[in-house]
Amino acid sequence: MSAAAHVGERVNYLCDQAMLAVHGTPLAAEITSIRQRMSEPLRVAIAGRVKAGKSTLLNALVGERLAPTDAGECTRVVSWYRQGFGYEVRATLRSGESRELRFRRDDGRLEINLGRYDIEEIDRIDVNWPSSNLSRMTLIDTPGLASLTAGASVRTHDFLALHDEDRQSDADAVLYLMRHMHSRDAEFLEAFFDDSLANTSPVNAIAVLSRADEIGAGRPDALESAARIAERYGRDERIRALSVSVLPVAGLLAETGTTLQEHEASSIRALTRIEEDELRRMLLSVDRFLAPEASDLLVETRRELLDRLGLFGVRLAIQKVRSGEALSAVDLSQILIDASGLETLRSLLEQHFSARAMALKGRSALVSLRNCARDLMEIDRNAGRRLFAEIEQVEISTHAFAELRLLHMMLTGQIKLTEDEQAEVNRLTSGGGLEQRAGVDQDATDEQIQQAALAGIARWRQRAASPLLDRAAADAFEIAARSYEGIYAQVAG
Amino acid sequence: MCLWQRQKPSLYIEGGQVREPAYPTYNMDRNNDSIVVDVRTFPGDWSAMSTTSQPAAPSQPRPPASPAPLKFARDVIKLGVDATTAYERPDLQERIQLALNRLDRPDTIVCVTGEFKKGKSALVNGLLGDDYCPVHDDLATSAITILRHGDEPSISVRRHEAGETVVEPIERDQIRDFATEEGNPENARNVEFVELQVRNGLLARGVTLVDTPGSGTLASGYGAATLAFLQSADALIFVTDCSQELIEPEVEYLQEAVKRCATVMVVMTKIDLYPEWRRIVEINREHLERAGIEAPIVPVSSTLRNVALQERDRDLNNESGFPELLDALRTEILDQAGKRAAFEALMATRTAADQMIGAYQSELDILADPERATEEIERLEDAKERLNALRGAGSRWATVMNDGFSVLTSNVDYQFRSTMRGILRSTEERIEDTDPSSEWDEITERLQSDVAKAVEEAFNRIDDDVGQLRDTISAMLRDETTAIWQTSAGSISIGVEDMWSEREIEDENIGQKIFKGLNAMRGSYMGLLMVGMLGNFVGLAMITPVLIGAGVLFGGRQFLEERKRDVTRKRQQARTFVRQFVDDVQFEAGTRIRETTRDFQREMRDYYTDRIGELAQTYTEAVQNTQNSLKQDESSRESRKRDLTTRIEKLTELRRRVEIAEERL
Repeated sequence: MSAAAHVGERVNYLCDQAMLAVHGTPLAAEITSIRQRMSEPLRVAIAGRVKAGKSTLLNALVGERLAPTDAGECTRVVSWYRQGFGYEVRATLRSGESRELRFRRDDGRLEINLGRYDIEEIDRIDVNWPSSNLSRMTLIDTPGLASLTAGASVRTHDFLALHDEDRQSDADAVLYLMRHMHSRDAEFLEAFFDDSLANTSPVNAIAVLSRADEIGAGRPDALESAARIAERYGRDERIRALSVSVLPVAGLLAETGTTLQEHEASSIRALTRIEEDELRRMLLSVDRFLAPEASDLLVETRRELLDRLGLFGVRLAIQKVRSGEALSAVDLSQILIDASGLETLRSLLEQHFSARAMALKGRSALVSLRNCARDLMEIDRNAGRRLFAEIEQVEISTHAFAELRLLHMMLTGQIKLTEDEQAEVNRLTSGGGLEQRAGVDQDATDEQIQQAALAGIARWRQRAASPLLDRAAADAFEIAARSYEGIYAQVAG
Repeated sequence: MCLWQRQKPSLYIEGGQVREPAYPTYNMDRNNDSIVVDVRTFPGDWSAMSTTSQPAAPSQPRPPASPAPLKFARDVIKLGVDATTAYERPDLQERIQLALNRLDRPDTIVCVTGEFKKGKSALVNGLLGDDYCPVHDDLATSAITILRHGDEPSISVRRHEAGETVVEPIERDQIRDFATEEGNPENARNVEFVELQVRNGLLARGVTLVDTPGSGTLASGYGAATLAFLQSADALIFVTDCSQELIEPEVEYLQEAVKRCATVMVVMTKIDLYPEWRRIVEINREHLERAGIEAPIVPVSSTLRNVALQERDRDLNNESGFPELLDALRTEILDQAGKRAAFEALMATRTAADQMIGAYQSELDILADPERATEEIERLEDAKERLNALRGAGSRWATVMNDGFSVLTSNVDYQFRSTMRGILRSTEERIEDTDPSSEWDEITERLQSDVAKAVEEAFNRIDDDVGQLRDTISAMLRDETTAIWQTSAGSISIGVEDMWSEREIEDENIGQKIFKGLNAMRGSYMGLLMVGMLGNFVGLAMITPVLIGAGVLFGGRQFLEERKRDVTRKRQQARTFVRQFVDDVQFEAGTRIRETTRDFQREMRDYYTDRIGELAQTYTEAVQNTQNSLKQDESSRESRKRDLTTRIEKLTELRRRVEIAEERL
């Protein structure tokens, strides 16, 4: 049995136990939803300050312009984007009722009609959309923190349970967008993590240096600057304690790259025909770019280009077309996506979140179950206690959770490992196949896998036995050894 | 036509009567008053504001140098200088001349603050037209940079090293070693400030620009320190960019800032980059309105300004928004500072006129009734003696003042120390409850913010107490001089009442707006030109203690991070760092507090001694002149009487014009 399936089974078992205990109480519905959640895709919240580019990045990840974006503050209510069989938009009202909303698509953009509901009445919006990009994770767009719009920040704080240690968060993992390092960002990250595993954890958080194209006044080397900044942030101990990595992403380039249309590419081509010095002056500022006499292209068309690409993107696209590197919309899309850093983010999401989805969901489930147990104690003290004990038991005995603990300790620097060892732990705790986890070729024989596992056990046990280690480190190395044992056992069994 | 001519003191007025000159009209239309920016003459954009420079653009007429009321006031004050020269009162003349100099070049401190990476340094460079402040995509400014005018360009850094304050000259390319995160992360090198003296048109107008490090959050300790600094600044340029609307901490900061600083401008940078910048400006305007913050918003692009200056492109310069910013700076900041200086100078002119009128009137009265001359002269002599006695160090007001200052100093010191003790205690308690390495940032931020507030409080208290003390002394002197006047010099009706009244400008003439923050320290009361020379440094005295100490806290973070495990030991270390910080601040702030009060005391003593001296001089001259006149023959006496009448007429006219000028301002 794979580790992931194992987590699922353990959580199911816990849910069964809990169900027996809460039978006939209002908590039963809660347990059903916890169980339900285990079979759904991982929930990834996109959070950050106002105008960090959350909705834009969400659109880029989905590859469609579903989340509304705007220069002003835009996302006012927590919105869920999940895989659906059909197209459907629903609003959950503060009163708890759920209502279907009408929507239409305008030039690729989703427009939701709130109908007779006021935004204040709406608790959240669910967009169910058939998209393969939503099959592995449900994305949750949140209103910006530090917003001046009354209520918007509160909603995000509520949603992420920032000020309430007892409440679980509805998200399993978080993509935190930061434009520049503010201590507020760090505070936010710290507050996000509950303390079921550890106080803070880079296990389920990825930080993104967003709007990377705007750094350095949109100069041609903006993205290189952004990469350097992200790298520096990534070295910062405080950030390492909170997020696995900091990736520079130009969300707008990514969004437009994934949704670029041929007529947009042809507008760019039209612009490249302008005489060089004139073009240079035209690209000095947005106002110049939009000046009626600057080009034969309709001002409206140019404005759309700017909205879609930003000044940096327009400059980049024009340069690439002029140099002959891009001819069609397809080429241009690829160039924009490559420049945006989206692919790196996707692969990190895959390795870091999707591959460990079961463990991460299980972790969320345990928190939810603990809350149920707490509520149960109000009704039946003994039953509540028993449930607590069961949860404790499962958390300790489920190796996938131990692996998350190991990962957490490694990522936060609590145990010092060489780079090779870090790569090994990453591999070992990923949700991949046995071969991958054991670090052998894809076509390795069972025997080779077992050999590798045995070597791993010996290596980590030896490290764990060092008398110089403190308890936590020894435990961590022991976890790695046991992961190899698991691999060995699975091959054998 | 001139009321006084230096060569011929008693010249009659043209046509034998006092004629009202045609006052220049002041056009209220701002647009007519805007400066024409001529990039060809850059960096002297401000030269465009001088009356004497030649027109820049043939198409546009050069607007007047300053609003007409200021110019009118200046002319009146100039008359005051001429009058005191003509009537040989060098003591009064010197005072008016000093005030006039300040009017021509008002010391104006403009502080630039805002969050990280909003383009503060680029903005300062844009304003000055040269890359004085290092600009970097990633690493931000980490120390205060002060830019002021100097005929001999020089750059120096003032910092603390091993308990000593070091001032050393540096080269331009070394600025980044001291003022940026690159060379001086979190001001670990204990830089108090980097000072550049450069030849520059804007700075030559009396402006001192202060570029501050961006605060990660304006609510942090650093934000609190810059708020304290604002009390001593004439204006704040708050920098944000057009990438997004204002966020909560920014608006909160602005709300605090407008309480402390009379003029606040919000500059929104990077308009070249964001197509929707106009909308963001509108949204921000609404945010400000909702928050009750009165501040103009000026959108600019430093990038465009830079290109415009390189390529000498006038259109592009206009698009950069800098001409408008410079114009706003002039109307919102320089003109206001000019106004304040004008009020001070008018006050000096008025009291000078009053004194001279009084002296001449008494001489005239005695000449009109020579029977009582001996008696009157005796009384004047008596008054003179009593005034001279009042100047002495042993006089009552001097004793009250000295006692007042020692009480003030010890009170402020005591209060400050006990606040700091409280802060130390609560920080230590917090350390006891936590793992200090994981919460170090929050602990230190809170600590810095509390300490910044404590320092600000101490200076506010000095300011309040000095204000009160000054009121006491003024009232005392008013009573004493009035008594002298009433019992001894019944016939000399000089305006002693007026002389000691600290009329607050904000009440009467220009509304609340002009003076906020440290009133006494910044000489906001009429008649008292207090601590002009302190102006620049009171703010620094408030901000540097926190800045200088910060290095310890920063070092603390690295130290604590390296020691992962033993929490007890970490707490102990954390306490040591915190104590050291508090000690440093206490030492630094304590020194600054003592220096400040000492300077105040000296200023106040000199001020009152000088005023009494002027009064004594008035009586002395009245005695001498009267005695001289009495010795003359009949016809000379008659001519003297005519002369005195004319002088009184002219001085009365001057006084009337002072009042008109005050009304117009």
